[in-house]
Amino acid sequence: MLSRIYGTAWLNDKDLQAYLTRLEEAEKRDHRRLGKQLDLFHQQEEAPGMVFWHPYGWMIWQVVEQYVRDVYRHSGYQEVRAPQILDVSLWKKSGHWDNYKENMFFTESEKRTYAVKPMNCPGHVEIFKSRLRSYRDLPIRYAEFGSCHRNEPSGALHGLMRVRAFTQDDGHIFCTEAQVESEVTAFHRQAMQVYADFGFQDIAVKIALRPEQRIGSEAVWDRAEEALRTALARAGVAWQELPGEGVFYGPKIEYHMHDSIGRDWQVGTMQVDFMMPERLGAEYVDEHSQRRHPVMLHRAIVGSMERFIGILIEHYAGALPMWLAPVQVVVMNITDAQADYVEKVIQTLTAKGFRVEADLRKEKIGYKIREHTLRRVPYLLVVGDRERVAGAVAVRTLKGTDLGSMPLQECVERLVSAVSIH
Amino acid sequence: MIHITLPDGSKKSFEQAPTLREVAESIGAGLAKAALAGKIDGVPVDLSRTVDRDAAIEIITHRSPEALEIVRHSTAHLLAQAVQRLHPGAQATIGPVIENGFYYDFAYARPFTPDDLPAIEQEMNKIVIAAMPVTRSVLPRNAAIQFFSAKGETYKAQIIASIPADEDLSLYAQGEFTDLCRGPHVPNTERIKSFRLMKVAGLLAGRFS
Repeated sequence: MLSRIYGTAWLNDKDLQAYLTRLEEAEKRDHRRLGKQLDLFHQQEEAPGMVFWHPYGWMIWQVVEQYVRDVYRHSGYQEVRAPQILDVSLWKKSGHWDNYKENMFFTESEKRTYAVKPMNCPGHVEIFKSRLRSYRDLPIRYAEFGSCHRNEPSGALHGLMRVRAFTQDDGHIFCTEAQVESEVTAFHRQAMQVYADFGFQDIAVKIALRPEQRIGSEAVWDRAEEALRTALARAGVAWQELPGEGVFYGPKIEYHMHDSIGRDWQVGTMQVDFMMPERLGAEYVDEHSQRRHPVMLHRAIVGSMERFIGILIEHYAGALPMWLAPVQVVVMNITDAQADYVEKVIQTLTAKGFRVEADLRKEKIGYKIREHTLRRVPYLLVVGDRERVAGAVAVRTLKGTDLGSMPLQECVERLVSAVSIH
Repeated sequence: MIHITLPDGSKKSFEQAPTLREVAESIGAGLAKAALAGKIDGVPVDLSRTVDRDAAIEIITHRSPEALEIVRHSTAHLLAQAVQRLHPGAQATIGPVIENGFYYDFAYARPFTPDDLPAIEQEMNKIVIAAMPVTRSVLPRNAAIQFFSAKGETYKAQIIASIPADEDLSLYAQGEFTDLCRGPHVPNTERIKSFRLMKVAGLLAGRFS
């Protein structure tokens, strides 16, 4: 009978205590626990590593997705959508069959074998190939909220953090070799802005270099690795290098976010790929009327949407900033006499675009406030007869600050300024 | 005459080959007291190691980046010693350092449970207070297999048998407990101060068979 005993050891009691506190804090923030408490999502045995999103969780997803969609729009990406399953012949050409087969799910129909896509890149290459491209068209940037499946070992699955089915904010840039550096630099700036908007200031940048199992010549790897170094140097950031940790088709930049309790999460990535366009036959016509293969940049900022939302939940211990909160405001009455007025307040706020709920239950107001505080609702509005008569609302924040009674219009202005990202 | 170079570039000479502890003492009593281990030409070794050639020397203290790994590894040995004291017949298999700590796998007649941990932790503290010197010795592979087989540590013997035949093996002893290990380790169990046992996990039997 084998048993494993785990221990932790530190150089002094202060470090030990800090670690134990961090663990305790992490447990309180565990996204699986908060996911249940806040009714965001659940997982069950029939779908290991997959997520059932409940209305509040899906609302957070929608906010993150719309935000990222806006980033796509402002940085020159066109959104596309490719099939979920593709004939294995395509995966053989792309190199996934030889290098990634163990992680893929397969399915069959009419004696043909298909793979459920583990990555979105081949789909985007096919869209690129659908017509003749000129150097004048480049760079072409495609983006997709790409749903992927990877057959991770069931023992490695963990809540939203390690899943089998996930959605990437995936994008592919087709460009010339000369454009790589400026594309990488622009992506870097954009990514850092996104992390800052979500409340992460402390980002570690790493370059993962050629792995043992890889395709392509050493010279191509040299060029790809050097392109990433040059682009980061130009952006003026310091980075760390990770030998052997690149993907089989190219090196990558990794973005690691440092969360509020000192943990690091890898989220974004920028990968330079000189190989897949050639393997899949993507071409453009250069200024000398020669056919050439474009360079392909694989990039994601939040990475897996599932995991990113898990990180957000833990980073904020469930108390998401106003702009991300699934329910931003709850309006509650003290007695039935204010029920109609509550309805009016709800209509006003909904018309302004806020996510609002009413609580008209015949419970004590203290009980209602406590319950919505536990649900981490950022703003709680209470109306009694005095507020109804005055066209006002009494405003409390999640942090427990009582802002007192104010005219509804003033409250709206306050909420509008609270919802802005910065 | 042995000439050593210290990290700040300064040089020292010794008539006779010194141990790393003696090198630390020659630099200062404070450093000797703080020393946990050292490095000879960049390779981490015990303080008791003799510097038998001209080399670059570094003394590892709590401030060194290597300190945590050494302390964690030594704490794993401390755990194994405590387990074998309280649970005779428990065989120690492997005990690596992991993120934030360490684990040790034991083969025993019954699985360990969280209820066993407080007593084991208490025994570990006793060994710390007893301030046992940690000593290193080197044995040829076959002698090491015999040593562990004779102690009834069949798992350990199996692990050693899987190591290439031409390698000598280092053993670390503290009191009645001896473990196969590359090291380095802290010089004395009293240097292990801040630890906590966290959890137990059952493993599939026969992993080593």
